Order: sequence, then C-alpha cells, then structure tokens
Amino acid sequence: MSKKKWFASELVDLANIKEKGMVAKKDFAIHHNDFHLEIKKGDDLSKVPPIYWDNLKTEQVI
Amino acid sequence: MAVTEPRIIFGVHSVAPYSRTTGKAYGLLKVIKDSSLSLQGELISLTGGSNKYEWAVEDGKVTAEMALKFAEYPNFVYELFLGKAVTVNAADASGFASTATNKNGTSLVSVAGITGVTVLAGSEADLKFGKYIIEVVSATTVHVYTLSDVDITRGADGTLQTDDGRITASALTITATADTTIPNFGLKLTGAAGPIAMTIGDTAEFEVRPVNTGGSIDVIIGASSDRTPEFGCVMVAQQRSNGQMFEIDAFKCKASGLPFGLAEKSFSEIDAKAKLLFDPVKNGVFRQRHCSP
Repeated sequence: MSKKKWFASELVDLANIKEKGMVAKKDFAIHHNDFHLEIKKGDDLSKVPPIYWDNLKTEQVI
Repeated sequence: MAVTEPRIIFGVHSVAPYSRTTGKAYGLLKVIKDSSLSLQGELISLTGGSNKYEWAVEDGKVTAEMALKFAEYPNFVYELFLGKAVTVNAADASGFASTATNKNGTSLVSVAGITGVTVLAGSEADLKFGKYIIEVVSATTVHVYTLSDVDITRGADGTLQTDDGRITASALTITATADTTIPNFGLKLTGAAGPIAMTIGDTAEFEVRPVNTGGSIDVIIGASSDRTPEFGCVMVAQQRSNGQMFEIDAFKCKASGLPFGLAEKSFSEIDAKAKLLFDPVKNGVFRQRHCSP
C-alpha cells in the first residue's frame, strides 16, 4: 500500500480541524477491516486514525 | 435355408455427433435416454372420375428427424445445439474474482471509488460461487449483495442480512489506496487514488469462482452471429444379450435449441430434435449396420 501524499492545502485543513477540535457533526459509522467505530453527533474524534479523516470530511462529519 | 434369429433392436448405448470435416467425434453422449429416428413418408394419391378409390399412389416427401433425449451437458452440445463454443477455464487453484464493472452510474469503479475487487490472500477457501453487486450507500461506504446463497457456507459461513441478498452486516468504509475486506467471503475491495467520493445508488457487479480443480466454463448465448453447424451422428443401440449390435450413421444433421431444466429435485434432461438431411457425397441420409457375432 503506497503512503498518502499530503498536499499543503490538506495540511492546512487538518490544522484547522485540530484547532477547532474533532467533534462529530452527525452520526456516522466506520467499518474497515478490523477497525469498527460507531460515531454519534458530538463525539470527540481526536482519536480517530488519520487514515479516516478524509472520509469524515467527505461525509461532512467534521 | 434355415430359420434365422430375428433382428431386434433394444435400448440405446451411445450417441456420437461427429465433425463432417474430420470425421472425429465431438464427444460421446452416454447419459442418453432416447435417440430415435423418425422417417415420416408422404404418399401422394391420384383420384378422379366417379371412382371412389385412388388410381395411383407415388412417393412424396420423407421427413427424417432424430429425437434426442439425454441428461448431460458436455461442452460440444453448446456448439451443436446453441451455435456457440464455450470458453474453458483452467482450474482456479486460488479461486477467481472477475473484474468489477460499473452497472449503474460510474463513480464506484473510478478514481473516486474503488480500483476493483480481488481475492484476499490467505482466505481463498472462503470464496463462494456467485454473482455479486456492490452498492454505494454513502459517499465513502458500500454494501455488497449476492444473487444466490447456494454456496454461502463454503469456508467461513456467510449470512444473508436482508431479503435482497445483502451479505455485509454494516456498510464497508472505502479509504483511498487501502484495501477493505468483505468479511467471510475471501474478497477485498481496493480504494482508488481518491479522494473517495462516490454517488449514492451507483452499483458495480462481479462474479466469483471458489478454489476448484475441475476447471469451469463460461459462455454467452444469443449473439446474432451464433450459428449451429451441420454434423454427422453415430447412434448405437444397447448390445443385446445374444450379442446383436445395431448402429445408425446419420451423415448430415442440423439441430437448434437446448433446454436447461431447473426443476425441483429433478435431473435436467435435454429433449432436442435434429433434422436429417440428404448428403449428396454419400448419396443418402443415413447408413444402418447390424451384426450378430
């Protein structure tokens, strides 16, 4: 599996997220191989592995 | 001259359709139930005047047909009766998953979705025969469906989650360039370059073959170019207890159509007809041989 190449704009995005805090804006579930996480609106997402941050953005959870 | 043993025909032993070019058999049909020749002759009558009876009768046309009833599907019957040769696949020592192709929409198999579905190394024993559908349920998640549970308990048990054949208990997350396992099915989906952003409702389809040693076939029937060939056919009756043997060699036959019977607790039987044609080279329709050893 190749390493993800981060772009500057994405790093800025992630920095903003960290500054504002990773709080779920809606319910969502991640089921990926052995990783399973049920997210409720308002949950702290700071422990969610970075591999899933793009998913959370696309799904408008963060 | 002494009284001779009557010539009696009993049962059917085998039917061997053969190439009219090489003479070689396409194969031998052994699970054969019937291979009867019917020769329906027409008599043309002359009547006239006040006579109630016919003045003359002459031979009309003879319709020669072979009724074939058998219960096996060797590769050559697809060619002879449906006009299309099958594709023979070698044994799949590690199983097989076909290339996933978009069915509805275009986002699933794309740079914003998945690159495809492949066999999960080490879980080949969990591969289950069937046709599968992947459906996008949110921008980054999919469900997977099967169109048959006939093989669902091969290896790790799979479970139908819904009446429409869903096999995933929860929607699977697709992440860019990473693999996502389909649990218990020996398969994985690979995320494309991303960012992952699929269209809800888009679907893709693929087929799976489990690990097999006997090989497999694949054939699409019904193209306008499909055409059944003419073939010769040797039919042999069952050898009688007194040793009598009986053979018919039909020089030029043509058939079309092949049923596939999927009926409750029944073997599928093929009930097909072939026309027997005049062969100008042999100056005949068929040849019959009988022998009493």
